[in-house]
Amino acid sequence: MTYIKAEHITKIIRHQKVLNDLSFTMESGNIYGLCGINGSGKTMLMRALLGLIHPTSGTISIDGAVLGKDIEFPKSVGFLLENPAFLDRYSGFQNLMLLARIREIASKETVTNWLEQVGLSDAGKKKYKKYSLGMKQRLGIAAALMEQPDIIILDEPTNALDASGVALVMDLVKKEKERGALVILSCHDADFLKKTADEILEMAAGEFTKISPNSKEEPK
Amino acid sequence: MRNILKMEVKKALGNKYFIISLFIGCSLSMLCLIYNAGVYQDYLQLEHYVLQEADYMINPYHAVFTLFNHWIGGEGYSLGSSLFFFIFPLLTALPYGWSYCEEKRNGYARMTVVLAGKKAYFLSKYIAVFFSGALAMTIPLIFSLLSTAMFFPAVTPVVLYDVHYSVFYQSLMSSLYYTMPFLYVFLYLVIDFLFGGILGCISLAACAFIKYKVINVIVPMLLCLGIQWGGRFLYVSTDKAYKEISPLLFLRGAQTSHKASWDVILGEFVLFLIITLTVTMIWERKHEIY
Repeated sequence: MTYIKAEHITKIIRHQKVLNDLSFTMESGNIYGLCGINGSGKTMLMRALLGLIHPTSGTISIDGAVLGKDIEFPKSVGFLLENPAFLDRYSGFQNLMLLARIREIASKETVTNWLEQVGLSDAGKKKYKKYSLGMKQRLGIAAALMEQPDIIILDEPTNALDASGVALVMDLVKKEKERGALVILSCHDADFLKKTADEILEMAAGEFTKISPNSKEEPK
Repeated sequence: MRNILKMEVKKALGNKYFIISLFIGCSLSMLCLIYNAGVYQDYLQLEHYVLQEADYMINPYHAVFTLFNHWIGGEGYSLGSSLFFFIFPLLTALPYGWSYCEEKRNGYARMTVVLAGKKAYFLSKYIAVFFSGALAMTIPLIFSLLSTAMFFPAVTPVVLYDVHYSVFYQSLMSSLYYTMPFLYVFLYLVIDFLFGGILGCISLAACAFIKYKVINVIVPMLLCLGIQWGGRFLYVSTDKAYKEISPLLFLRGAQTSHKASWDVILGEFVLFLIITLTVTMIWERKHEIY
């Protein structure tokens, strides 16, 4: 079972506290939803959980291994941070294959399968620069999930997606939870979070203002 | 590490800028060949005209017209050669020197770094940039050598005609030039390979401080011009035999200004290597990636 434990993490950038004394534990098989206004620290927290930035004080440990000390980055993680980032000159398929070859976890068939799952099977051979924003987002989600990681971090996964895309993300995220992954997602769409997350963490000025288990009531 | 290195090399050698760089380099080689072959033909026709009544033949292996002083790296007067040895810092940075800048800006770097680890990412990026720059420098030179060999005989240069070769008594490896010219050319190709690679890496290191990839590509060129300009303050006496410090001049096999020397060539290479490795593998690796 994978778990993330953060103890009193604070991050100061240019004399400003972007994360302020956060402590929490997250466990696999759950979906954690982060919400809050722009600049509340959601993306910074995700960067810290990925090991991309190091807390000024406090520690983040994953399965007991301290990030930035025992391990550089989480061993099994898939993520989509801010905007999807791929290389313009390659097709969607080639972009996924380039990433898949780094760890050699996902095979060619897996990549093709994920392109199908996110609705890009026809556009797999198309150059990435010709993708629409929604298609780019779908490709980003495929890249985050294709290696079936233990930890999944999705920052605004529904950005630029139409209704069918949002439903697709919701479905995929729930499947990942059932598989046993620890999913952390941030979203401005309260309805989306309500329908997917097991626990909702509201953030403001780098702090958790409210942590509440989600009842997942269907809107009437 | 092996996988990310393969991926980076594939990205470096498979992109259109590498092809564009090779195309420009090889075009300049052709320009050099067209000029030199024209001069050679003019000479042969003139000799034929002068000697047509004489009862002796022109020596087709006249040592003044040899492969070793007519390939792009062996002469310093044709437009092709002058242009190539002026713009080569751009050609070495163009293939892949800008890549880290682009990947850092669009967020691709953070994706790769998390999957591969920072050390593997930066080391493989460094190696890929080095090889793309080195090949962008060396392939046009080899192309020139081979294409020139189709028109000029590979006659061993004769020291009597040293003014035609611009390789003089004190020039770097001059004894080798007049005894084993192919080895001389090979060693120059090795030097050019190394400098092509390291100049590409200067562009990579510049990505740590400059976020515009066009400027990153120009940085090696500006550095070389700066070194050349700096020479004005070193070469103050007309009595002294100075050593050439400008890569724009010491990377060709013909001495066009001051003599090239091993200590300056190796010194500059090691200095550039230390700077680029420090910036890429230590400074940038320690930095947080947003």
